[in-house]
Amino acid sequence: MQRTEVLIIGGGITGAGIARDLACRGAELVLVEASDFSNGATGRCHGMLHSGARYAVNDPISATECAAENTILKRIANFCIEDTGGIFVSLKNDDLDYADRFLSSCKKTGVAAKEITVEEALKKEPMLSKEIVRAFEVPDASVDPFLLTLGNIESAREANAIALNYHSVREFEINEGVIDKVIVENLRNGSVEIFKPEIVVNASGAWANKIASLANLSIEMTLDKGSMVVINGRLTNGLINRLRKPSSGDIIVPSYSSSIIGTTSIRVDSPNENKATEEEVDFLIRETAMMIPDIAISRAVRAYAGIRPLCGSDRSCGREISRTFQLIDHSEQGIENFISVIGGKLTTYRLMAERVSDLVASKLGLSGSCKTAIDPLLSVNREDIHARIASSIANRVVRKSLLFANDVIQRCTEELRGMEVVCSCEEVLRGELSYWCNHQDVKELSDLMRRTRVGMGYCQGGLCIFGLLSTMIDHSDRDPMELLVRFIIERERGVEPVLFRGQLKEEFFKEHLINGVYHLDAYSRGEYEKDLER
Amino acid sequence: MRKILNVETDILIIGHGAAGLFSGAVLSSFGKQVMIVGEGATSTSLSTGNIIFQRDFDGNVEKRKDREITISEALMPYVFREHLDTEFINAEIRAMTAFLLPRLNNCGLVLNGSINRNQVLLTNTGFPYSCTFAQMFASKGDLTNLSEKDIALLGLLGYKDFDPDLAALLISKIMNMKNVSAYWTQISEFRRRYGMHPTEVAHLTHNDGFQEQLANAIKDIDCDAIGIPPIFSLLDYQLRMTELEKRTGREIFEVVTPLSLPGLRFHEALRLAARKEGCRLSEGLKASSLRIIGRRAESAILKGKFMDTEVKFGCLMICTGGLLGGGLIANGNKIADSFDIFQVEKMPNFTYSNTKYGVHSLIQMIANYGLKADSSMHLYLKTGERLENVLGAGSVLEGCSFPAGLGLGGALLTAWISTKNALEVLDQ
Ligand SMILES: Cc1cc2nc3c(=O)[nH]c(=O)nc-3n(C[C@H](O)[C@H](O)[C@H](O)COP(=O)(O)OP(=O)(O)OC[C@H]3O[C@@H](n4cnc5c(N)ncnc54)[C@H](O)[C@@H]3O)c2cc1C
Ligand SMILES: Cc1cc2nc3c(=O)[nH]c(=O)nc-3n(C[C@H](O)[C@H](O)[C@H](O)COP(=O)(O)OP(=O)(O)OC[C@H]3O[C@@H](n4cnc5c(N)ncnc54)[C@H](O)[C@@H]3O)c2cc1C
Repeated sequence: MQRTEVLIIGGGITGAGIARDLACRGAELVLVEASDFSNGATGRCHGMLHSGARYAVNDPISATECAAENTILKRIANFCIEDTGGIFVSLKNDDLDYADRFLSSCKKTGVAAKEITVEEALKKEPMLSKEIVRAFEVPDASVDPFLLTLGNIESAREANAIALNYHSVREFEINEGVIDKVIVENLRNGSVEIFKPEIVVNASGAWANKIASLANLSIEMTLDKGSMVVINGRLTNGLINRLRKPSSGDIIVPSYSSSIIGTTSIRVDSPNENKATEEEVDFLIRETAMMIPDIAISRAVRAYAGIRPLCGSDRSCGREISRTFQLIDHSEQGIENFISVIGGKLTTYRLMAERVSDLVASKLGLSGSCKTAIDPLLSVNREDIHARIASSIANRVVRKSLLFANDVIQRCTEELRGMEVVCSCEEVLRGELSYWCNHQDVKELSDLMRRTRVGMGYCQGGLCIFGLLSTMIDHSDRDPMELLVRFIIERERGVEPVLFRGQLKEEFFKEHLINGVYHLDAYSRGEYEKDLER
Repeated sequence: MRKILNVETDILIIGHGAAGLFSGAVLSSFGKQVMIVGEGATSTSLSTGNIIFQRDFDGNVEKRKDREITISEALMPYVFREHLDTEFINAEIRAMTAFLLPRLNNCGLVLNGSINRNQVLLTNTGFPYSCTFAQMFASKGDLTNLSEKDIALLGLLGYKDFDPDLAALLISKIMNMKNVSAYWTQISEFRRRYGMHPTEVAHLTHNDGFQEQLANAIKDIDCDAIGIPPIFSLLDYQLRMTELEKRTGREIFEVVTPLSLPGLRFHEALRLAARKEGCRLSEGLKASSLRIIGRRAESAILKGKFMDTEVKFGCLMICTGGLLGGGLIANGNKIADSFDIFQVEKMPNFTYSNTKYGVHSLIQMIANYGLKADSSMHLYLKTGERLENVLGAGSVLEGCSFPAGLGLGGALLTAWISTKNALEVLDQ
């Protein structure tokens, strides 16, 4: 049994942010995550660092929060943010009054929006449809949610926090209105670990109600599925946003070498219903192609979906519910040491974490104050890296190596095959994979993907899978066939809704390659497929 | 107006993969005038080159874990299934290999090993890095006894297509073999190069000293049989492998890798064979449309860079490959033929996200779509009419695609049978 001051449930951006904040204030804490860090809504979001503009008209609280946090995050977490800027555009038949209300609301909420001429807009974004009638520039940006979360985790660890992935909370032992023990299953080996925390923070996003039910409580929330499609190629320089009352298919986010279009909004009953459908893909392509026509002829590489846990219930449409967050102190309901946080945005995670941490700190009587708005998330000494490796490679590798750039580069330069490019879509070196294979957090091949982007490119792991597997088995004694099949099944989930045109051919090729070499048949998959439906 | 060149030939074959080239070779050997046109990379040259024919279609049962399937069911192209005449098919396969093997031999693709008991293996099998049972073309002697020996796999640093560590692990696991070990060596020509393509490597093997370095590395390994990646091209792999064995005193075999050369060698050899038999091979020309009058095809238009060609023929063969080769296209959620005139068999809409199928099974399902043909390989128009002088072969046909169908084996077998019928068409 392990004593700790705080136990945080959930390793999405919210949990990770709270862990960092509290650890920096000197709290002793453990964070447990059932899957991999950022594998919930966080890793399945649109990757947009909101300027607040999208919410200015209808949801001014969210807009104000986003505007402030946007500036802060660009300062403290620039390693995972591409400050591309964004443009809101109205099309011919859009409600033009809305554009005027938009501008005045932005002013009120502190969002820096500025109208530009159509010519200027077309100059900045040559792929834009010629049909646009008005355009506004805003400071939206593209953010890598995986890196942002992992950055917070590592920063918390630097301040002595313990963060464990593949650890799932199963049960609470409650004694006289206090959660006395938390029973956690270690999914790496099936063992049970028991924690005895002073305070429990529930940051499990869409699963929040499920966790609350372990304490016989319930939280009013609505689950809202949103799907996105990854389009091959970076079609825009910055973010493109449709200027209208927030609807589906409004946003295009450039991310690394692709463009991500989204999103939809569909009410679901369970956080596990996170699969994008073919109809959603069709819809998103059609809608966003009105702004960037080339989307209609580009190759859709993958589709994925995340579940928004929105505060409140009984509203017909997910878009009506405010995107701000809710902090629940369950002592009012009879459980003294239990706090839940739900809703919010990736963009406002730091603010949410600050509020949660303030509450926890006051309960624990901690004196330290919040520094997360000032201290950079990670401070890496990069000085001698550039001396050891070409700067084009160094920049790319350093950016995604969090605190470990030195060690990663060392593996690349000193290991026998460290400089081999394993994934040519995303230019991932074998040395990078080799470093991460040895990291305590990595269990599956897809964990490597979140950390290095391997397999995220347009071949969706088709060609790099051999190198990926061979690096992994150098460092682990897992069964290679099992690793392979799990990885393939996970990738396939996202490819299934986009099986047409180019990607259909690509999948055919992949099937030939992988089947021709490994002879995987439908049969051997069945076992793992069931296993993966958690 | 673009210029149009007029050409006449007995037989026009569209598609220059295994099916097209083999058909061409057979028809030319009967003294017919054959023109083959093809554009783009062929699946044949990209493939792992694993060709398997089951020799005896006697309803043998193959066991896969707890599921039983009959061999004939698993390996027969659909077109034959309805008219499954075991005697006939077996005789055809024997006749076909009797025709094909000496010709491939003549073109440098030499069958060295013995033919396995119940399988006719034409090139390296693609079984998990599977080196053991079908290096007939590549190696000396019969390697079927390899499983009892100590074997070593040797990787070349820089050439990432072959990873001996992974291969050793998979071979020992999947094929239940002990005594497989992995080694690496650095060849000076490869130094500071990462991730070379197989053909690039094949090119570098011509450098002086390459052979010596490789031989020295092999001599350092204390094992009887040593597997190397397929690095030599069709031109000299026979010679090189023999030389290596002489120099090292070891048994050397090739291990098939994901994008390896055996498929390319096979394609090259077929090309040479077709040429030697007298085919006219025009690569880089795409057949864009066909002129059909009644139930006969009269001519085809070929699009070239500078001018078009109209080819008149007595008989037409469609060997344009499956979805990968480009003979079939995905049109919305339908599989269609790229000329948009033929009848495609089994074409219910497929739904992408109908979760009953995973991508894997969906692809297997789609791979079964293709042009409808009868057992004499005649094709049908969309209207349901049977064409008198148009035949099909290869993965463009229903059920002949890989991995759901028979892949290369299916391409060869359907080509063999349709050539016979093409000759009949011409005689009429
Ligand atoms: C479609 C979509 C698009 C979005 N786009 C944007 C955007 O562009 N910009 C933006 O700012 N925001 C966006 N958001 C919002 C943003 O993604 C979320 O607000 C944010 O990621 C929530 O993070 P979280 O940590 O609260 O939840 P999650 O990331 O879901 O984390 C909860 C974690 O708890 C874990 N967990 C569950 N049960 C247990 C258990 N029993 N034991 C241990 N751990 C458990 C889960 O595995 C999960 O990892 C989007 C959301 C969606 C759904
Ligand atoms: C990576 C990979 C691994 C494989 N492994 C195996 C294996 O181990 N064993 C096995 O049996 N099979 C395997 N296959 C499948 C096998 O390669 C194919 O089934 C077989 O090669 C099909 O031959 P084909 O002649 O029908 O078509 P192809 O070889 O595809 O040739 C058709 C050609 O026709 C051209 N063409 C199409 N339309 C036109 C037109 N209008 N005008 C001119 N030209 C046109 C195409 O561009 C193409 O080049 C594999 C395939 C791949 C890609």
